[in-house]
Amino acid sequence: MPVLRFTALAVGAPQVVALERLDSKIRPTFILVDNTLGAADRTITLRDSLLPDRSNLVVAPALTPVDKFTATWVITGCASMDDELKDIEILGDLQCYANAIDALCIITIGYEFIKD
Amino acid sequence: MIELRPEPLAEVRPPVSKYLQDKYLVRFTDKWPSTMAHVTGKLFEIDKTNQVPYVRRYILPTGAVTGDYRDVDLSNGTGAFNESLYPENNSSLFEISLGWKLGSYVIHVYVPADRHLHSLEFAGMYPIMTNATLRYLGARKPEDSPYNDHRFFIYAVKDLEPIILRHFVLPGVAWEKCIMGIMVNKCHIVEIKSPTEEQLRKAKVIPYHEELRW
Repeated sequence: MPVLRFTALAVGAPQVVALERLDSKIRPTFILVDNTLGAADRTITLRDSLLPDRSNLVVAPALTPVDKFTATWVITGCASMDDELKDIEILGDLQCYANAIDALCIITIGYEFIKD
Repeated sequence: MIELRPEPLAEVRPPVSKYLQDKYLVRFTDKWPSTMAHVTGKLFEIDKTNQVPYVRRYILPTGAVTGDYRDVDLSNGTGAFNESLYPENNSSLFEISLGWKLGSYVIHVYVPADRHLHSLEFAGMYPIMTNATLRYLGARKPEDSPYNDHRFFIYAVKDLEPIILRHFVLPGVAWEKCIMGIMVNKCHIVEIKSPTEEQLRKAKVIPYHEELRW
């Protein structure tokens, strides 16, 4: 199962965790945030960045960000979540951003491509 | 020409291939129109096959309020909705199977583009995407033909009218990703000019879509 580790980036230039695959959706399987050395409490969001297809009503659809999960990790805290993510389905790219750039807030996200 | 195969009640031993294979016989009924005279009422033997898998996805908003949908046109062309899965040669038969990954959406079949395949007989009993009830009439769910166990089959020859698969995202979700798995079983067919009774009996009959309407 793929895993990506990175430092907290802000919403203007979010971390791309996984690019979309045409043949499946993406499910984040866990998120671990190590904020023990972070500068402040950190609010982390998982975003679904999807590009819709043309439909009968929308000829030129635009890239659409959909935030699907947000939680806050307190300063000095280090915790992971998995059960909370089990129902999240990402249709496009899986992205992650924080409420501020923080090079000392370390985020690790695992994910899988849904088979069925 | 269009089949939705039910889940089998029993297994057959030895197993039967779900796709046409070399030496299989196919017979087109007399109902196929003169625009496809190269197959009308004829019997063919398949002399070679080639399976081509493919996948397409459509990320769509729910059509609950607007009645929005995506028409997927399986016929050949360069239009925005064409998937170009049809044969270009008279000696080709494409057995196209389709399966969908689970999601909150349904699929309606139109052939040609403005005629729904699964309507009922009473007046007004045909699917309407903007109608909260009638959008479910004749609708196929992804579960009816799963991505890993295709049960929806289309038999396409050169010059077949466009078959439209209308993907409609149901209420309850803002967006859905409709993932359609495709297997094109390319069959090279050779006509048997003077078939025997046994060959005619053994052949798989391929009806024209108008035969599904009466």
